[in-house]
Amino acid sequence: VNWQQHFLMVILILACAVAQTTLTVLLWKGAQPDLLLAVVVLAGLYLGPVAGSLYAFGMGYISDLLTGGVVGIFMFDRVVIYVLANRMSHLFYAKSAAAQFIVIVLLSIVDTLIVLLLSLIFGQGLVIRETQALYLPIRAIVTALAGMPLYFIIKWIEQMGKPKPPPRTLQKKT
Amino acid sequence: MLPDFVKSRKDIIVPIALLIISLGVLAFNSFTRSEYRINPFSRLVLAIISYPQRWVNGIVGGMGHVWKHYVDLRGARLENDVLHRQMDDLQMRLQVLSEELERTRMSVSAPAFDGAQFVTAQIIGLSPQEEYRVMTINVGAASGVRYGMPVITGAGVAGKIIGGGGGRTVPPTSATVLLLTDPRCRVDALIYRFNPPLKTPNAQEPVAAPPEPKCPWDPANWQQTRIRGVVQGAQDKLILKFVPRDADVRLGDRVVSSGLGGVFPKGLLLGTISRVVPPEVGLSPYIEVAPAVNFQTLEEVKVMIQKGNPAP
Repeated sequence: VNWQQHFLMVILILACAVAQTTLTVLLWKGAQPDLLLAVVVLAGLYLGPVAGSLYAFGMGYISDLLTGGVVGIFMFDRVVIYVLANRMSHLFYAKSAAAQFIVIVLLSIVDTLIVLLLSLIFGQGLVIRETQALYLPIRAIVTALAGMPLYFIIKWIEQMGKPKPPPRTLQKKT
Repeated sequence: MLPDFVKSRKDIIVPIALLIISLGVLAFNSFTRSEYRINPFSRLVLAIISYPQRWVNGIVGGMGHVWKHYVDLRGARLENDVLHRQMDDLQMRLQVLSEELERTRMSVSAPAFDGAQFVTAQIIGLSPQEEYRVMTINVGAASGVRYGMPVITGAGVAGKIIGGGGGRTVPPTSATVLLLTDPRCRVDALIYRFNPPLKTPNAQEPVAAPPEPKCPWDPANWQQTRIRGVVQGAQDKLILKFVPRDADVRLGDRVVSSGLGGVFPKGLLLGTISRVVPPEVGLSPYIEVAPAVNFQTLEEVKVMIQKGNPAP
């Protein structure tokens, strides 16, 4: 286990949670980018199923705590999003910038719908409204845009986990 | 045998196991919502997040402070801020005195604000999800903040305290506020009308504006109607529900907490009626209420940690 990789990933998740809840400069046309969702999707594309799904689970837990809702809604939702992102990366080459953008936009919309559905089932009282329906694609695009810088960080963390090739040594023939 | 099977299929088993666990946690928490207490681990996570939130707010606020006070308008901005704060305090004081005056005049026993204690708090975080209208403030259980306490501003009710993660325990150094505009927030309300009420031929036409100088809420100038309902958050606005079909509700009427429910004392301003659609079918009209508090510019709130003594 590469502890350095996991440590950096946890720091990234906490930084995203803090940024998402404090930096109102991230707001674009009143839409708030979901940085944690972008990390979940990128983790689905780049990190392995075990570590990635555990991170998704943890990110869902943090979202649950910060929203003051019933703990479990985002935990479930984020693992589903992770699995979908992970499956997509197997179906087609989703690692190009354009493909990533589209995947994040699509999964951001799916994410909101899952949350609303779960809140409906578990009596949270959230319902989709006309204004929210209009904001849904805007927020998805903003999330995808905000995910672009995160791509480089996740990619760097992913590279850290890969074994390095052994150094070449020149042996002198005697 | 089994460990080998698990090891070879862990890529599938782990996500499925996490899905099952999260569904189990969700079901358990939703059924035992009123009883369960936030666990120490959740408190730790909230504390870990609340400190960087303070730092980021401090840095961003400091940068904004430098810009506002030394570059942009210099002294005028500082004076403006002080005056705004004073006005906020005076408006709150006015609410307190007006409520007291009305209570004395009507000789009815109502929950009083005299002896009420407040803790001033700054907002250090907003909801990470737009569907949920919550915010995090920089005071917690260590300052006497408890679950269910009202959170108000000079303009009116902002929300109430909830525990982190939907629990009832408030972390020591931070607290989550469920805003009035969150769909999970419901407040029993009364409708007040400007006194004397003016007869308008059209219900959509607003009644006369409050007297100058503009006073946000002075019950002495407003008369309580017999109409009551339940205010529920709807993202950017509020909706007044359960109002009788034939109730005389007009644009410009003020919606005020009724005191029922035990969270908000009677007489706190919730908002102003901004839209009334008579019912074609159904029992109640569709009534929209513009919140009294502007949540977009909210920076500081007051938590009512002591509601005050009941009137003698």
